[in-house]
Amino acid sequence: MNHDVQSLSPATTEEVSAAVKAAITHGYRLATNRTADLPDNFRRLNLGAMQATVDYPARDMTITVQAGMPVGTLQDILKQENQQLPIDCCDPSISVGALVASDVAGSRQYGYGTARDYLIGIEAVDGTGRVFHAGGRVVKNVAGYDLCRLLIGSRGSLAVLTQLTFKLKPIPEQTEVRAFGFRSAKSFEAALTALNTTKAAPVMLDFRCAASNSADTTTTESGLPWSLFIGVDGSAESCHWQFSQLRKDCAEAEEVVSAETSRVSIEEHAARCGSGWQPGDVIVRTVPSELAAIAGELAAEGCSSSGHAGNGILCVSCDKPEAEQQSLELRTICERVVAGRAASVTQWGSDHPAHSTALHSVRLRDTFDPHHVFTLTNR
Amino acid sequence: MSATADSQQCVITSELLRELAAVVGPKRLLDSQDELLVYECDGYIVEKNVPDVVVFPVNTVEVRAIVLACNKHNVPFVPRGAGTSLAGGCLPVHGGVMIALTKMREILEINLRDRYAIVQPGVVNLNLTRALAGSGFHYAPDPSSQGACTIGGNVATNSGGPHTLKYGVTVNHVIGVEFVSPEGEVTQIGGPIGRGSDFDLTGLFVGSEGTFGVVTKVWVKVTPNPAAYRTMLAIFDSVDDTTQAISNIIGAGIVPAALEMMDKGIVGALEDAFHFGFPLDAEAVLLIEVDGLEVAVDHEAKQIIDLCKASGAREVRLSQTEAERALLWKCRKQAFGAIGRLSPSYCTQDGVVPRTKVPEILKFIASVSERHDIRIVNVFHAGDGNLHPILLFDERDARQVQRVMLASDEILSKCIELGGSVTGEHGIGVEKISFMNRLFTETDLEVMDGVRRVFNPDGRCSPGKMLPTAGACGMEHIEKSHPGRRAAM
Repeated sequence: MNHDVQSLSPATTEEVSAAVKAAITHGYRLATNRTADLPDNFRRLNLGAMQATVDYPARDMTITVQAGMPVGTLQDILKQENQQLPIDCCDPSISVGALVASDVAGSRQYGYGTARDYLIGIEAVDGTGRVFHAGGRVVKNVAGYDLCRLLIGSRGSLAVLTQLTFKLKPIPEQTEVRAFGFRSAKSFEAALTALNTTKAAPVMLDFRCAASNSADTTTTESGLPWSLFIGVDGSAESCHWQFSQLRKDCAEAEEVVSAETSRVSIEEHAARCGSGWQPGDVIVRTVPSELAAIAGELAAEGCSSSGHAGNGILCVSCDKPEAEQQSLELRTICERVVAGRAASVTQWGSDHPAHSTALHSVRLRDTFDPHHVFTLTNR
Repeated sequence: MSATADSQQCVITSELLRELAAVVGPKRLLDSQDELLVYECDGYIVEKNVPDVVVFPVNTVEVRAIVLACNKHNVPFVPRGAGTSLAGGCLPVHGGVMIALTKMREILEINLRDRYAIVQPGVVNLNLTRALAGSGFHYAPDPSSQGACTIGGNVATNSGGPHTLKYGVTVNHVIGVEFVSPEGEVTQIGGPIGRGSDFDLTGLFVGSEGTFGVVTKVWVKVTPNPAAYRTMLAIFDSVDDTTQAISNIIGAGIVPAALEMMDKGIVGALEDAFHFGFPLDAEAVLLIEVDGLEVAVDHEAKQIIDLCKASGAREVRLSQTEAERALLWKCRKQAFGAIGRLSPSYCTQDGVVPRTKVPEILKFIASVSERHDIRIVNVFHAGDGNLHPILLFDERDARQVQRVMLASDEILSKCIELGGSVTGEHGIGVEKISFMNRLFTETDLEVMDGVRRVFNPDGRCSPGKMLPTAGACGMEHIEKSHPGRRAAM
């Protein structure tokens, strides 16, 4: 593994294509991952020189940008027109291409969805150097296969994204987050059940659960073992009304203790939440109704967790020092807890489409990348 | 381009018929010419071809057995839902076996806590929402044909509908699919917890127009009902003012739940049919709905009313009762059914333009109507820029037919020129194959063909759909690609 592999910085899509063709000719591989160590036979493809806005017809509420544009830059451009791409990302320096290729989805996915709901067009270069397009620049379009969604979360294993078109949303008048504390998994789940049919329209239901052996429950903000962070947006009157309703929803649940500890914007909350998602952490995806039980059992095993309760997503980190050093052990604990449930356990570095052995996934990789230019493993 | 079953001569042997009958039984197999005629086309009546046999499986096991039998005998097969496609999506291009999924109509599970349902492909779209009535949830995609179209068909075409402006199209509401691959394997992609760590194959599968396999089960999201609605009918004396209002609403950053336009021709037909009280002297109306929190909808409605009036609306009516709202939506969704009052035949197009180009494309459509002497009326999803110009004609007049084809081609070509697409929700099917060369580069189509081969390596499943398999381009399709078009009409 090598931090100092040669870096290529194409400035155009044609140069990306040329880089891929050169990789085939000279027998090396390409990665767009900016942080991971890479084997010696790799070159790093840095799209930092491809940051242009291609087209921003603001009144159409779409934007087309080159893939190397940082997410923070994109949001700053959109803000000038009171628009946003409502995908939360804790690192504004991450590129738009990486955001899509990694399918980063933060706190507001409960209310706003993910990249799947906003990406409407792409330009990309496959593993043979072919430049191809899919989708377009209109918000509704079913012509051709939906290669946009195929490339979302593909981790660069099929193609290098070079240009992306998104549909956009208006920025709401304000956003607001409040924290509620719970003493038990049972009361926490009761509140989640009540919130599932609330008359309010929360756009965020994040949570934290402290490990049972942790003396410091202040890590959950509420001072109680369980914290639920509810985010809403809209006018000031709307946000006020929604929290009045949400307090009722939570109060109707068993043993719920309301413990507001903070009042921040969703953006501030999302930026804080992202920091816990480290490469060694384990992600559990389940149906929302199982989340409290799984988090509770993990807490009993000494594992704290956090994530997106409304979407059934937990990020698990372990209070045991030895487990922190050995993510494999952490994974084993998670797999034992979720056994028999509708849930999957994954880790960022090892579980992604590049490693899928499903028939159609293998065929797709062979079709898009027949020379294995983008693959991190031997095939 | 791939060598697909397009070029293969379909031969149905008695042995295959026996094998199919052994799978589904004689009562769920049709092979007499009279019965097969029902299946010669879908909602796109311009091209017709009878399948050689139609079978009605009731479960995944039967679907798999049918597919394996077709493979064994090298016979193409095509899945079919309710046949409401407006682009020839379930046309049996070279005959073969049609797999009709309308008897697979069970709602297998509704899980409100986790907000999903599992349905068989033949479940009628509206029946799922009816099954959810009183639960506080609904199934959001609401194509105008939702009283007839099936969810399997919606998956195939990535169907839309009026409320997709706010809630998204079918792909935004499908989290998993079970299908029988063209090679005969039962495969599940996605499910209640989404795609996991694999590619988003569900996202790729939705909208593949039946070319990736036969859907046998679908996991769909169910969506909470909004707490409140405000439904408005804005009445305009000019089409220009109407389109300006559309542009101003979207430009102001307001995203209504629905924003639909109907012009004078459609309004007249609807008034004849439903007696709603539409103003017959208006040039166009906008049906606008906002939904959400009770505390917020009045403010949004007022913003929209103000924008409409500032754009020249002579009147904006606010729906006063749920019954009035329901009737308004009934009128809108049955608009196509009312067309019969205007003309013996019609052809509906499905172009899309950037939303701010709606005024320009409507002017162009008016000029096309005049130039070709073909009456065109409009009812469409204005908020999405998704047009449905309806070309009215008499199919017994061959010259009118030809003018309709030319006019359609000009309209869709203009949509491409304005940066749009030739289909927003109906799909490419067979109708628009020749436009694919204009929308996409040769390389784009090669890549898509490679993806088709991943799922459908022998091209036996739904041959002749979506991707061009020959080099036709430009206007050739009007004369050459559809030789049966005139006779069929």
